[in-house]
Amino acid sequence: MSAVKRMWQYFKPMQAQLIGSAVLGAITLISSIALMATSGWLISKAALMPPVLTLSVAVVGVRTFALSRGVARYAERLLSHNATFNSLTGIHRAVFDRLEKLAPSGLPAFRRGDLLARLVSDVDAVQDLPLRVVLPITSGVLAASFAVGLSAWLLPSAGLVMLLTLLFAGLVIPLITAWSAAKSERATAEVRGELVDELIEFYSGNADIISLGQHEVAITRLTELDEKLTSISRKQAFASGLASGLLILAQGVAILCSTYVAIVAFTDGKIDGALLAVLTMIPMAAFESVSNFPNAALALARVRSSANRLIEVMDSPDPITEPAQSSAISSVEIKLTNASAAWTNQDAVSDVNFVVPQNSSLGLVGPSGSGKSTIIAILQKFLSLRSGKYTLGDVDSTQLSGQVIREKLIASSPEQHIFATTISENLRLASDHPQDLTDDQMWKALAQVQLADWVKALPSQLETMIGERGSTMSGGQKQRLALARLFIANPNVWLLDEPTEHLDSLLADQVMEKVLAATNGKSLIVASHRLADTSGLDQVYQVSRPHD
Amino acid sequence: MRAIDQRLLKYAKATKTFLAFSAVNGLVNTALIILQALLLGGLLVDIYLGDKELADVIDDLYLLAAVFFARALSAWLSDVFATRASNKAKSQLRTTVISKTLELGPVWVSSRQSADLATLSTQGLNALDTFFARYLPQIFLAAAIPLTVGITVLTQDLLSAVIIGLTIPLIPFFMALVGIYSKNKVDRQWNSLQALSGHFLDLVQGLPTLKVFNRAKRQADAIAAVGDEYRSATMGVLRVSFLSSLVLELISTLSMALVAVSIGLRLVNGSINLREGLIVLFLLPEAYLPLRQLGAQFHAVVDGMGAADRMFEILEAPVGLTSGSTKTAISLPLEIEVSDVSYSYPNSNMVALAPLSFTARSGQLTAVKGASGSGKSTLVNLLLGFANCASGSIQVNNQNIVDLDLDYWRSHISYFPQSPWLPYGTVRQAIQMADPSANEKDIISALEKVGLSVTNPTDLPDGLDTKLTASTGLSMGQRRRIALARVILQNQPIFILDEPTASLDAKTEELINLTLHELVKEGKCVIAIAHRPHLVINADQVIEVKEPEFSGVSS
Repeated sequence: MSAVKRMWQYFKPMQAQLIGSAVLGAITLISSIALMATSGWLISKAALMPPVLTLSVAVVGVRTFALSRGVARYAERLLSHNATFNSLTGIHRAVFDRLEKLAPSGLPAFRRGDLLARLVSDVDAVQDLPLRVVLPITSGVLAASFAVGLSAWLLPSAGLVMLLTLLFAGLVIPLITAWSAAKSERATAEVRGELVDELIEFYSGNADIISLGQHEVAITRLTELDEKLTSISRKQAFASGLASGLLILAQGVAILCSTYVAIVAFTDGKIDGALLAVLTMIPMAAFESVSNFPNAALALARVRSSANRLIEVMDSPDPITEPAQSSAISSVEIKLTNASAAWTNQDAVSDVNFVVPQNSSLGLVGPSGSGKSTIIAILQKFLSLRSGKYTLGDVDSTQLSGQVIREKLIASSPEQHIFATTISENLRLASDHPQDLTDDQMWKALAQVQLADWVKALPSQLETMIGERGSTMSGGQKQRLALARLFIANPNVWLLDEPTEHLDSLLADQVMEKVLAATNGKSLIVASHRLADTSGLDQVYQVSRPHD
Repeated sequence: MRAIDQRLLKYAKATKTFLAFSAVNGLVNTALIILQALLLGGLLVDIYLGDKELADVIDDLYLLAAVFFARALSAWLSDVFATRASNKAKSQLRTTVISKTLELGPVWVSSRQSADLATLSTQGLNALDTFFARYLPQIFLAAAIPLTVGITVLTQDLLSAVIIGLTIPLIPFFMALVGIYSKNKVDRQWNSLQALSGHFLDLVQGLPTLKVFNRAKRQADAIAAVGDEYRSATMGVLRVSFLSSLVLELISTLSMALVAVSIGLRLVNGSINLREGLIVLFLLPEAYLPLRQLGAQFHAVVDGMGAADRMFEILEAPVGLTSGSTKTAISLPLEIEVSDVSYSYPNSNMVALAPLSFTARSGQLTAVKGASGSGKSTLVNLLLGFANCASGSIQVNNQNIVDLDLDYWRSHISYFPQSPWLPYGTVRQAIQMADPSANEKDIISALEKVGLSVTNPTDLPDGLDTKLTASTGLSMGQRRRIALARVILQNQPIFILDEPTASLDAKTEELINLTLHELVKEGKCVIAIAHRPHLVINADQVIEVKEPEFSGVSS
């Protein structure tokens, strides 16, 4: 089943509302065709000066169709948007459930913020599937069929004219549009990619580039790329206008041919003269039905690529095999025997061997990229072993669910997310009983990581909102807030990944001192490239890159 | 909305030619439509009531074919030029944003995500397509076309022209009414809507963290609740914004009905003839079409305003940096006098650097120490002219650096940031950024000064051609040393080094200390931020930056 079809499944529960929307959409379009046709008939008949009563049905028709168009459209839009947003909640839920299983090792996106943001915008893009693809096309096809049927009923040859021209406008033109958009995308993708890369370089190395006096050079290069991109898009513009021109042409052909066959039929005495204007006016309104099809084709292309990316995520295999029924943890003695593991094509570790007895501490040292974080991930059961063994007490980790393991072993790392909410909410999530956590306990945890003074100085203290991704905080502050969560969770085993990454030596030493004091009588594992962080620990394990 | 319109207009100047063309093209198109109505109305009546035959009107049909062809051409050209114009406007905006970020300086840039900035000035601009390509010319056409069509109708039938003349102004009137009525409501709900859609991203980004604390499953239920809130907030906005299009539709269709019925009834008593009636009927929808299109485009433009807002956040960000223009020669040996310099973050009372004074001289190593958050990096930013002092001054040889041309002043400094950046490329390319004309020997000797050997494969696997991608597996320490070599090759009279020996083992640290002392002996003015005792002990002077007091913070 294609990705688009699978995404469509999420809209199925709203089928009744969607069918209603399609019908209302068709009524909207049919109303304008009928309004035109009835008006034409009304005044053509009136020109023969019949008794006014004979026109009254047409007069009522004209007024009805004039009203029904606007009202049907309003109802259609409300109904279709309501159905779509309802379905979107289901998609959000499904994607989140899947991501919950995949995080953090089953998806490279969790290591690249921009990929994750794109994933979320892909979910939003799928709402175009009913709104801009399925509904406009369904309503359009219904209305166009009505136009063909009406013309054919009045004069079969006019029906044929409508059928052919509407087929051209509804099928060929969208294909041309899709083709020209793909062509233009192919032509510009490379240069645009280059431009984005250059811009990212320019911004991430801004201070260095300026202090090296290279900014003029960088700007020149960016300007050149911009000019290149603009000139390619200019050449592509000719194809992009083709659809609008062809639509007018198709409509023109329909009007001309309908008029022609109507004149012939009238002079042959086959139709009433009042139908001359009617048959001329039907094509004037009918092409509105298919005028959205080119946009629908473009929207479909966008939805398709979003759907493909989403389905890829939904189909990613579980990174972890969980036992059907988890055993219980009797002791938190941690033992890795010849353990090897790897992230999806990222840094790996092989043949790791160590034992951390209950209530003792271990330092993991080694250069960045050697796999210290990988070991921390293994211990939390975020990553399955490719070979070797990981046991907790006497129990093999394969017999334990990740959830059970993470009740005992909790990690803190500089990458941990700071949620866009208050400081207290950010701390509360670490607690087993979030509602029972007192302000006092929070202040204590903040003091341990030397953040209490900073929070006290904030306008709303614990209730201060910290911006998107905690952006009003410095790297060191974010890291310490993340660490404060561990003081609140106070697990049996503390796992610290680079706890002093963004801190200067003085502060780093102070924080590590508090950690050591707090973990007295607990187990502690610290991964750090800073020797001082691991100096007071019971044992140190040197992590080295696996040989390729 | 209106304000953004006007701000964007400034950037539409590049598209003036296009706007003029669009206006002309739109009017030509209207003339063609009028011609089409006259021809069709004429020939239908001739056949229906005038005893004419197909042969008599065949020329008119040919002429009509030509009209349709010309209309198709005009529609095609209008699209081609629309695309071109929006490309041009986007290019201009892009260039302006880039040069503005340069003005705002590295401190501002580092507070943003590079990828966000890059996307904003590329794909993000596409959201403004409708504004430049359609909405702007449509504003003119929405006024000109109804007028032209109205006048043509007037020549056929006075009453119909009056109906058009009375109903068309109702459209902007009702739109404004709906707009005023709903403005507050829409704004309020729009905000909650933004917050809600950001919420899902925040949750997804935080999933690994939620999982660490076993909280992820509980959050899944919250998604449904938030989704429902999102839907009802959005529907609230849409119910109102769809109202305006309902008004548009109703006014144009009801006018059509009104005109058709009135023409019909007057035909019966003979006060109008069929030819005039048909022409008016053909033309009528054309009078309302431009305003309906304007309404539709308005919604697309509002959708694109999110991108515009973010853009204007950049374009209108106050530039905290001023550059002088003086380029007086800075003679050696030089003396940098920092007197009572302090800094607070703009728009807040948060003090980033408490008043500080010291003098750094050529041939001296000045070590700067202080706790995290005390303002050491702020001092570096002030020295480099990445930020201006809130009070006090920095003078080099008795010349205030704010009077100096910023690029000129910076060209005297070799700067090593706390987290230096290396381009995607080779080690050679990274180091040549300091001096594009540097030869192999210079580069190798600079690398040796930081303890990296091109012949040692554990240092640099492929020598100078070692790639600086993540997969090469250079450690943080190695990357920092490569950047340090680059700064040494740059070899300006002033060295400002932010933690030059962080993430290094003791042996390398010692070597780098030696290198720094050689620089001092050569007469360089070296200012180093340092925690390492080694560096501090050997310094000619040690400056301690004191943590700013929090008393200045408003609550």
